[in-house]
Order: sequence, then C-alpha cells, then structure tokens
Amino acid sequence: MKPGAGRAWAGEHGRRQRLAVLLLLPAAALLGAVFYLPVGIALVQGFRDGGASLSLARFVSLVTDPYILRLVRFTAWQAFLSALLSVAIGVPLGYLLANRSFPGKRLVSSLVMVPFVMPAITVALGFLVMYGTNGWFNEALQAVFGFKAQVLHTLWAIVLAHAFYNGPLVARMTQGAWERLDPALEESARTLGASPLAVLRDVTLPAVAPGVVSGAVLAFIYCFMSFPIVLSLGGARYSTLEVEVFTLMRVLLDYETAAALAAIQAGVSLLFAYVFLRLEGRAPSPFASFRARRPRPLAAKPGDLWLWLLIALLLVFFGGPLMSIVFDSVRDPRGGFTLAAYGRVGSSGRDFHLGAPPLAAIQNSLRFAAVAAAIALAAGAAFVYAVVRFLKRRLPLLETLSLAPIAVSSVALAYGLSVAFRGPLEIVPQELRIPLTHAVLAFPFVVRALRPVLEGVDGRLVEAARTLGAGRWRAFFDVELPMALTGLVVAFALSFGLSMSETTATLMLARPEQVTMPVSVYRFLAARDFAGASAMAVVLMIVTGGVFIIAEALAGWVRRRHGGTIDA
Amino acid sequence: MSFQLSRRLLVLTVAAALAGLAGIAIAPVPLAHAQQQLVVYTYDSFASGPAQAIKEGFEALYPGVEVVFLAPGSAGETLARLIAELDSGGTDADVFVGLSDTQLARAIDRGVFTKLDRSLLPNLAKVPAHLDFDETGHVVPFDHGYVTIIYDSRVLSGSELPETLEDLVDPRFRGKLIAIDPRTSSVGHAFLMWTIAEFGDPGYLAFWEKLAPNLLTITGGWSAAYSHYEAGEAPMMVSYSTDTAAGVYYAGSDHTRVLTPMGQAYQQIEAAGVVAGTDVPELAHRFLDYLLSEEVQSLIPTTNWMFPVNAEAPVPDFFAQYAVVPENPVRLDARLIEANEQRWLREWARLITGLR
Repeated sequence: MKPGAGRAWAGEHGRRQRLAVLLLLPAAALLGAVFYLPVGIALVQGFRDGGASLSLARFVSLVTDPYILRLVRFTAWQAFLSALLSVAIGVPLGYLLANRSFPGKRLVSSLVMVPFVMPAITVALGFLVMYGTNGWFNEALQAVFGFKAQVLHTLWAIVLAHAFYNGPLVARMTQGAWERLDPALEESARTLGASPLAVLRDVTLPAVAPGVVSGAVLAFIYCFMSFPIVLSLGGARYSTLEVEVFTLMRVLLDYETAAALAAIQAGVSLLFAYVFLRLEGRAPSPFASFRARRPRPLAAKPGDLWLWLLIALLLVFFGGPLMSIVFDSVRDPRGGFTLAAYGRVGSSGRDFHLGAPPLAAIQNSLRFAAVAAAIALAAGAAFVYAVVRFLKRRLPLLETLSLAPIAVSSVALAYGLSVAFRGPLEIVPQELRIPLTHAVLAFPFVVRALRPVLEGVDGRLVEAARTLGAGRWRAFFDVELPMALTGLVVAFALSFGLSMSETTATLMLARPEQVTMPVSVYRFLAARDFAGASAMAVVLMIVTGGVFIIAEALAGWVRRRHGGTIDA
Repeated sequence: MSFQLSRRLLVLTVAAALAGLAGIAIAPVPLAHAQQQLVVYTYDSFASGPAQAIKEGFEALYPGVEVVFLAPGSAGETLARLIAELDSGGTDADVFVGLSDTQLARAIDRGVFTKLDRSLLPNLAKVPAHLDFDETGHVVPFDHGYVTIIYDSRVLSGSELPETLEDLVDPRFRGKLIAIDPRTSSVGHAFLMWTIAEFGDPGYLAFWEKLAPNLLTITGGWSAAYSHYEAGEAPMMVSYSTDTAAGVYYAGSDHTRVLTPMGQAYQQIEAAGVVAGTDVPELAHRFLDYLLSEEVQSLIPTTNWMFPVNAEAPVPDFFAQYAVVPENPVRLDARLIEANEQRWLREWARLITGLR
C-alpha cells in the first residue's frame, strides 16, 4: 500500500462519518427537545415515591395487578388482530398499485390515504351508518340472505375500523417496496425453471417484506395506543391501556400512576416493535432495481376476475364509511336532505369556534400540516439516509427508538409538552409549537415509509453515477431522489395526514384562534350539530384529498422528467 | 460553468421561495390588542353554545376588555389542563366556567380557585340557596341539569317502560340501553353516581353486573351515544332531562321522552370561579356576576340545554313545557365523591372489562 492511500481512505472515512453525524443531527435535535424531554418530564413522575428519591414500587404493583395485565393482554390482542387485517387488506391493495393498471388508478393511489386523516368520532359515525343494525351493510345482508349481523359493539367493529385506518398505510408501504423490485429478477427466475410459488417465496416476498413489516409495525403500535375508536365502536367493555392512562391523568389527576402505566405501555409496544424489526433484520437484503416495473393492465379475462372482485370489495370497505359521512352531512334532522350544514361550515357570522371561524380552521390545519410535514420529511429523510447509506447496518434498537413518538401515550405526551412549553421550551414561538409536535409524531411514519424504499435503491448505482463524474448532490438528485419518489410521496402523505388529524396534543397546546379542522368537527358535535360535524369532516376529506392529488401529480411530473434515467 | 451557475441560481431561487413560504406560514397572526384581556377556560359545548353571546355582551358592557374563551375538551380535560399549567408555573386563565360539582373538592385541594368576594356578585341574591352548593365560597353555580334515561316513544311506551332504576335490569330490556363511560364523560359519571346513591356501596356493583347484558354498549362520550340512539341501535340512553326540548328545537319532533323513575334524576350543578393568581380579580368577579345576570341566564336553556340558576331569568315557552324537572333530584355529597371516586371508577372498570 502506498503511504498516501491509507490517509486518503481515512480522510474519506472521516468525511463520511462527519456527514453521517450531520445528517442524524436534525432528528436528534427534534426528538430530543420536543419528544424525549417532555416525555421524560411526564414519565419520571412514575418513579417518584412521594419524596425526593425514586422507586420502582409503583411499577411492581401495576404489573402484578391482574386487572392491568388483562388490559395489556386485550390491548395487544386487538392490536395484533387489527395489524393482521390491515396486512390482509393492505398487501393485495399494494400489489394492485405496484403491479397492475386499471382505470382511475392514479386517483386511487392519490386518495388511498384519505381514511388515515379522518377524526375517530367521524369514522365511528360513518361506521354506524354503514354497519349499524339499520345500516347499509345489514340492509344488504337482510335483502340477500335474510339475516342481520351484529358488527358494532364487538371486537370486530374495532378491528374493522383499525384496518380502515391502517390498511392504506400497509398498502402504500408494500407498494413502495414492490416498485423497487427488479421485474427482471422474477422473470429470469421463471426462465431458469423456478415454479411461480418458488419465485414468490424466494424473490418476491423477501423484496416486499420490509415494506409489509414497516406497515405492520406502524399499524400494530397505532392500534396498541388506540382509544376513541375503541370506546366509540366497541364500548367500555373493550377498554385499552390508553383509556386507563387517560382516566388516571385527566380524571383522577393521579399523574404518578398514570406515568408509570404509560411507561409500561410504551415499553410493551416498543418491545413488540423491536421483535418485528429483528425478524425483518434477518431477511436477506432486497433485490434492488433501477428499472421501473411496468404495471400490467387488468384485463377482462377470467384470470383477472378475482382482482376485479377485490377492487370492488376494497371500494365498498373504504368508500362505504366515507360515503356514509357524506350522507350524514346532507341529512336533515327534520327529514329529507339539505346542504344547510355546508352553509354553517362556510359562515363566519355564527362563530362558535371562538377566535376562528370554520374557514380559518382550514387555513390553520393546512399551515400546521405543511410546516409539520416539511420538518418531519427533512429530519426523517436525513435520518434514513444516514442509516442506509453511511451506517449501512440494520440497527433494530435505533430504529425501535425512532418509533417511540407513536408508542408513548398521547395523553402523557400532551401533558409533558404543556409542562415543557412553560419551562425549558418556553422560547419556542407559539406558532411553531403545534407543527413541531406534529412533526415529532410524524417522524416514525416518515422513517418507516422511506427506509425500505431507499434500501431498495442500489448504492452501487450511486457509486456508478459518481464514477461517471456526477457530484454527490447530482447523484442524489438525479439517481436516488427520483427512485425514492414513491416513498417520499407516501412519507409526505403520512406526515401531512397525521398533522391534519391530530387532536390530543393540539387541544392541550392551542391558543383560542388555533382551531384546526378535526377540532372544529368536535366543536360542531359539542353544539349537537351532527350534520355540521360531518360536513366539516367532508371538507377535511376534500382538502386532504386535494393536497394528496397535487403531491401525486408533482411526483408524476418528476417521474416523467426523469423517465429516461429510471426506465433505462 | 454557466450551466453550473444557472443550476445553482435555480436551487437558490427555489430555496428562497420555500423559505419565504415558510416565513408566511409561521408568521405570528396579528391580534387586536385590547387594554385588558380576560381569559376564560371552559368546556367544549359551552364554547360551542352560549360563549360567543357572552363574549359580545361582556365586551359591550366593559369597553376595552377582550374576553378570550379557551376550550380544550370536556370539563374534566379542561380542569386537567388548568391544573397541569398551575403546577408548572402558571396559567393564562382568569376564570374557569363549567366545573362540575363532583370536581369541586379536588379543584379546591389543588388550589385552583381563589375565594370569592361575594359583595361583588349582586346577582347571586337571585340564586336559590339549594343551588349555591359551595360552602367554602370558592365558586358560584351558573346552571344545573338532570341526568336520567331518555327513550324513543315510537319504540317503547306505557307499561313497557321501566318504573324504577331496578327495572332496567329486567331481561325484556336486553341490549336496549346505551350507557356512557363514567371515566370519560360527565353524563356517564353522573349516572354512575346515581346508581351508587340508589344501591349503595358496594350494592351498585351488583346492580351493574345485572345491568350489563341490557347495555348495548358503553360509549366514550355523549355524542357517540346519541348518534347510536338516533340511528335506532337501542331505544333507551343515559342522557339529559332536557332532550325532549332539544329534539323539538332541532328536529321538530318530541319522540324522545324523558324517564324520571320514582320522580328521580341525578342533579348536576355546574359552577364557575376565579382562578388563583389572576391579575384581574375584580374584572373576573364582574364576569361571574354577568354570568348570573338574566341576560346570560336566559340564554342557557337553548344554547347549553341546562336550567338557569337565576330564578328571575325568563325561559322559552317550549323549554318550560318539555324540559323535565324531577320531583326528587338525587345528589351525592362532593366530599364523599372525592374520598371514594378513584376506587369507584376502578371497581366499575374492573367489573365492566371483566364482563366482555
């Protein structure tokens, strides 16, 4: 080895390390200040033993309490079932979006995340119209089979609603991973004589698995923390841990026990997430591609019949509750139909939002969501880029920790934030507090959406581009960015959508004029204006859907511009 | 070179545009600054109800004053936010409107309220003594209502109806009643307190165990419960005695009727007080007195669906006709509730989740 070579390598190595640290910094700062600090403030109370010293006594008495253990078991069980159904719905949908083309597909893939932003109470009302005793589903059952099924107030209502929220999430993550699988790999495996089943097992599944696992982990944690859906559609018999944390913190004002329970809750859900991510870590690394998959059109032949049936089923499953909300918004309590509720949403005169007319709520929501999505995307993308390109190892523990913001009780986090913003974080301007909080909550979604996709981009392609004379930035913008596009769009949709729908922390931090659209939905309900609440939810649906369509169209434009490089 | 430059220029322009947009997005919203601000914390349906008219009325009476209402959730959640803020160094709140009588002991123990100067509250003289429940002088009542069972008279009528609370456990009502979680809703809480007052402690647990099969569901809040009821999922629901009046007002129909078994219903009294540490104590007192004036009290029926406490406040005719006042209102002592609530709620939750 020449004397200079070692130093040059060391120089390059050091530079890469500095770059990696630089890229991890925004995520560390964001999570450190707006998540770990407030959560620390909230959870440390669980260790207080009345005096200045700390103890584990509260934890011991909680984990030995059969009631708490029953809650943990049930919470995990319903989250497991919900994640399972989300995968069962999300994977076929992801397959359709990645591999097949059909009329209206662009619109479908833009709007598929809309269920994710609907306020829980609105979904509960939609489910009532859809699955209630006198709902559409039961009327159809009655007409065709002559019986009705009890769907609401059972575990199945909860699981269905959770899949309604999380199925699209799994679908989009699956789609992202699938689109990065080189179709030539499957084809050559077939040519070499592998059976379709063997191709599926040895080529397709390992490549798609990271996306599916990402979606399933998020779905599991999301459902593990669920609260309003559980109480509205299942009822108090199906109480989860979060209901208990809420009761302790907001009703009994027993912050100490609440903190201890929230710590246990976060521990359990992160443990599950860790196990999942370890399992995924064992899977062989995905087969990268810079070839775009050419979706095959769905044909009117018998072989594709089941896919058409699937589309019809998915349309009913997702479209039904959404249409129910629209139906609710035009129903006149005196009988018949009316658009009066939309008049109330649009009026600024009847200002029962105190500080913000309903239209200002739209503006607030859009502003918060745009800022939150920008922050979450920047911090999350830099984090994923550093992990995938520079650390190059699977780090299940680091990845588990990056999921923590959605694994901590939102009630506990909101409490910690309200304390922190009056203490150490007082310098943060009021206008930034809600977007920053939403960015923190969106961070895990961004990481899970981007990682499988960026991993699917072969690092050697980047090296090749650089060998050919492209600078690091040029290689990034021309090679990696366009290829990670689906992931970016999904990450944007998730973080934007999360901010559009978040209420727990928003209500705890908001000043009177900072009313958002989901908060406005609750205000309409509090005024006993059910049609108005549904109308506001429909507006939320339309506004979010519009933003998603614009994002997808932008992505399509970039894809076309780079068409040459991607489809080479 | 020129290509490099123009590309760099493009990136810079885009970055500047984004920064500009971000600047607009996060720019502080200019607020009209009044000489004096009065911050009132309340619960969501009060904010959606009479608050706007109260704000306008009070600001007209006291020029230069701006009333700001903040409603982060139910009464319990709002109180929790207020206490969390007081614990961590201070709050913006000057007045709290909507404290339920069952929360009074806890709020006083946590030092939320300052003692009232009753000489600044002349309208209090028009409030009957039995409603002015706070013997410690920290809060004044501003409205009251009754939690009971409502039913759909198109489905149930006459002899089919339960005559006592005990009748609700009859097998003929299997799956016919919608209850509300006492942990997350003040209506649900009031109903649980009623059962404790009626059947005693621990007798209430035996009652709930027998009642469970008759409960279609126990929802988290009133809105979800009411929409289930309106959709025809069950013909009975735990709710307010003013619901017939509200049904007439909103939907022009009186099919929803109110049960008062043995002339009973559980009485809720809602109160308001001046938050400890306020820098405008006198203005806060004036606000409370305004809350008790006939002007505001006459708004309470149709905007908050409760009864006014001011005996001289006029109420609309239809309200007087349809809103039910029980002969024998039931109430538990606030100190008794404070001493036992944690155990009651926990025992109730253990029972209900065990019956899945």
